[in-house]
Amino acid sequence: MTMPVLNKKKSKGLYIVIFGCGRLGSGIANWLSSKGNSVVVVDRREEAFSSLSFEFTGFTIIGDATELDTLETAKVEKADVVLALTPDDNTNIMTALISKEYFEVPRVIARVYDPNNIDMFSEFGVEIICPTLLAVKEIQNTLGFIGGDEG
Amino acid sequence: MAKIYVIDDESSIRRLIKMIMEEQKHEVTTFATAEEGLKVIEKEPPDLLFTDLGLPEMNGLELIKIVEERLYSFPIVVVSEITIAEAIIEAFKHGICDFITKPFTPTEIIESFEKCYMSTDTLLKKKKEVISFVEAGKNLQASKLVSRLFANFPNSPVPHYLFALLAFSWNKELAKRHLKAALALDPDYKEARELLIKIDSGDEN
Repeated sequence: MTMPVLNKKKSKGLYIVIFGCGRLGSGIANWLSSKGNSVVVVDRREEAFSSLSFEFTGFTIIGDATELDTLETAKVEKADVVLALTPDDNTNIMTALISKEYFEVPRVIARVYDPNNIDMFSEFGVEIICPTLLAVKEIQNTLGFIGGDEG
Repeated sequence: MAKIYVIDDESSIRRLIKMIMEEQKHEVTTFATAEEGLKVIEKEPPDLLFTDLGLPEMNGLELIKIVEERLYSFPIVVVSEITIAEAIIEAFKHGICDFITKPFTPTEIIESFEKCYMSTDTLLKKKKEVISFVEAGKNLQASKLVSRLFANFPNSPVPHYLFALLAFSWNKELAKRHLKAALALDPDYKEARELLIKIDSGDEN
């Protein structure tokens, strides 16, 4: 299967659904829409959409990411990419799995806070972004550099 | 390169359609209201119009009816959050070429444009052609066109009405059957109902 590449030069944009419009979700939504993609942002709270920039060209849907109706309203079955970026691991895994297994979305990426959940996500072919592990690696790199410098 | 107009009160939607179609090398002009769009259409009609239905003041359906009454021949694609069957049927009855629900994918917009503009086989345009063929007694040409419309617009009541118009002079029972089919698809289809009453009353004029 060919994976959609987000920054590839293309003749038409991708259709991307983002669940969770917090700092990360809104930032990614702003960036993706500025690149000419059709972006749908889903959040349970209407006020969350105020984080989107004025230049955001896309759609906002108020709804629960774990409900099938919400995913259908967002036309997840047509998505090239789904990003599960809510603050809750359980919501992210459920949304990611439904998108992958039920709607057969080619590329699904989820944020996972608890590193213990990574294996479970990976088993289903969901790509993982774990802020905790990223921070650990970054600190290791920094400390390693200092240690190397001193040693 | 085609000249495309977009009417939508949401600026993000206007910008998104503009971005998608400009990427395809078309010239796109956007308007926030039907009134603004109509002013420019009067001076210079587009090759294709994307319009929302839920617009402030003059709504999208009113705009579509004006375009139909003034006999403009450019295709119209409705892009709307509305998913009520009656609203969709009503819009098709007044000659729109396609209906896309929000949110939409870039592919939906591009494919709809290709279907409506590239083929130039718009229902409104073809309806007028069929009527003029029937009036001129060119039944063979009218019949060929109606067959194509059945294939291209299977869910529209218009091909049934046009076929009834064609069959009116030689087979009234067949005409009645098609008018009933048109009315089943759209119970408020005035032209179909009027023709049915005309046949039932035996009025030949």
